[in-house]
Amino acid sequence: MNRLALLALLLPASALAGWQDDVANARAACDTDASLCDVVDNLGVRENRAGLWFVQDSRLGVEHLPVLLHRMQQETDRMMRPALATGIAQLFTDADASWHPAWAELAATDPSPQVRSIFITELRRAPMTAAGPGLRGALAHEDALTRRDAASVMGRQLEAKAFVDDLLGALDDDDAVVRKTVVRALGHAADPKAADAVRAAVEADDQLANEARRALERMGVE
Amino acid sequence: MRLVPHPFLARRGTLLAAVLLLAACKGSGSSDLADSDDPGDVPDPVVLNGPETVYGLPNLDNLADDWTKQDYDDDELVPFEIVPSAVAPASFRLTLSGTEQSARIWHDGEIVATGGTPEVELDGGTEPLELRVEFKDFDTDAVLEVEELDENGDVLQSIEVALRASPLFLNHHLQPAELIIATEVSVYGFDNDAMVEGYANAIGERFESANGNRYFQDPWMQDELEFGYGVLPDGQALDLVIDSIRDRGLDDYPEDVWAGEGFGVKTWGRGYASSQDSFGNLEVSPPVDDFPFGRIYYGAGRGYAPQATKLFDVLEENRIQEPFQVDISWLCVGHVDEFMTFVPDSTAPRGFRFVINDVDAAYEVLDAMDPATPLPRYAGRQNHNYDTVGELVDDNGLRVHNEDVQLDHLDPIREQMIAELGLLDEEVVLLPGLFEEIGYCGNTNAALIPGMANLIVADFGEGTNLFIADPFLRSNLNDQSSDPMIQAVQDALPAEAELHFLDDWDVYHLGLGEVHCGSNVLRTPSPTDWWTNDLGGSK
Repeated sequence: MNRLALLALLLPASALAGWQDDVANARAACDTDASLCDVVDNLGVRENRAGLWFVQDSRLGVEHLPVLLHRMQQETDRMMRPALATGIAQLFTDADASWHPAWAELAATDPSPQVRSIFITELRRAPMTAAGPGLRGALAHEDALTRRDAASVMGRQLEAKAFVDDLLGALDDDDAVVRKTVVRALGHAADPKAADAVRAAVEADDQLANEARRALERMGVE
Repeated sequence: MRLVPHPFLARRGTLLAAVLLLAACKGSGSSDLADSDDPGDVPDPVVLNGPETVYGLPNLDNLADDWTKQDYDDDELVPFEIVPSAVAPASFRLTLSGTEQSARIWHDGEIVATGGTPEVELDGGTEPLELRVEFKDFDTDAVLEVEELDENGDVLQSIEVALRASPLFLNHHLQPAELIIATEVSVYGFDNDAMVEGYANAIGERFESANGNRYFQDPWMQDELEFGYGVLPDGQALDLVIDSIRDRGLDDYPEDVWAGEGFGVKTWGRGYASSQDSFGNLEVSPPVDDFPFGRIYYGAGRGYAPQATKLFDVLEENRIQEPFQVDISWLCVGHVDEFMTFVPDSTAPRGFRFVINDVDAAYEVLDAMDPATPLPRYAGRQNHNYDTVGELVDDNGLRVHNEDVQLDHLDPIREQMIAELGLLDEEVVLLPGLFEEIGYCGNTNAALIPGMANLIVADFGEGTNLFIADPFLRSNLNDQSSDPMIQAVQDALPAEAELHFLDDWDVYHLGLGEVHCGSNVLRTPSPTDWWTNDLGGSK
């Protein structure tokens, strides 16, 4: 099943197209309120200490979300696009649930692995309406690092136990790093029902032994 | 051999004189050389005499232009005398060896021997031969052979004079401070006025700021430059700024502000820089056993390494502060100053404590706080989105993540530091620290509570000042006395130190750095003896 098909199952049908249309038409709103585009077009983007760009602009509000998403979709610069995503991810945390489908879809399907990672990370403390479809979609991504990020966040999500079945299903992931992350995430979720599966995973892959030991301790089992 | 140590350090443009150690000559042409080890000896008039070793400082001041200008009267040329034997030779033959192009010999206003033309004959006679040596770089180790020749060109006597340039030393936190610097920035409605004012209020004119407009609002003063020095047995020293290949907004700052007479600026390497080329990632421990100048430590890891290999080759060769690597691959920025440091403490066994972040210490404070305590500095999407202490301590995902950080990184690094430096348990201070994942940084980490180990140490002769990021774990932002995290830090750090908690939130903390990252300290060179047993790398 491809990612979009999976998301289509996870999200309400109306949600998939809705936010995209809003974003596509976002700049039209600037005809009546030019400040919306002024802020986004002259956005405060800084270098952090590592030289990576991020948005730091106190003028930015949820009302800028459609225009900012539009700008990110048009952006091709490999530094600027993730930078814009940092601003959008901040706004998602303040935005109402109507934006959760956008958050989920970007986390699971954006073409940039960095951008996916930004939205996945922010889903750790997001409502399940965003985190559920977003993280499940990302866990099904073809890119192993995206699956790793999704698994890692699932285990530490505010509703971590809701993802235990998803994580159990990923214990046999093709990628060793993902498998290790899944075991750790199951430990973080601390649901004893995962203990047998973790023990079985170690039998199949002894590289997981150390990770499994810590996970089982967190589950409160030997 | 006589040596009169100079009690004061002459700095910044003073004469960089040699120490002429008149001693027994290591002659090859005579077996009856006088033993001049006796105190008060004068050179034996019968034999060819000269200093055993001539020490000097590299001619790196004025952006190393002086080496190119070839000025005989330049301060960095070190004079010394060769006293001929009573035979009055027809000529002297000088042969310079052990150096490629890093030392040269002057006589009567001219360069007479270099690495490229190492041999020269000069007129003989009864008068002392006046020579000068000039060093191009630190840690240069050369030998000048001086031979007395007769009219047939046969060698009558010879001696060897060791020519030795000071090794390069990087400063450690026990050295006195002279000046703290930071960039004054204002960008997109955010500024560091509070931190700048905090410094100015605490230390007045011993704080200087660089103009952010001139330097593209680059606030990371620690990262662009590293202060170092060379020092001679008489206490004279050359200050040096190592200019990073990082070359962001502050790129021109070292040349603009520091280059000049008696002050060198030098870059080793060029080209692409990684975050690990920033000098927040290049730190030095205080003196420990076998390392009287401390040890250099820097961050590296799989896929994370400094690209200025020339610089790190130099540091590796300079075994006097023998470097070691620490794993920083778990951090977004990836600098060793983000989570550990050293602070002076006269009550400690060796006069210092090693400070490293500790997750349990942080939760100990947080868990004891009233969960309803508002955290206005942490609230909101542009900050960390925690409105109260309760939200922070109840975030189990954050807690288990930090437990992993402790187990996977902080504990092993603490053990490594103890092993590498021979630290005692009582020398280790665990300072509260929490970390969070940074999504736009490959899910590596940065400080969630402002990194308080990421601090500045400065003793201007009146006691230790520690400049630390304000953790803001309180409801009343203007009342530091109500902050239990500040109280915990005060309890953990040396009681004799004066602690200054600076607001570094907007510009530094949210940019994944803290007070140390945004500041730098010029320190007085250490006069510690490196020459008696020549601790330099080339020996």
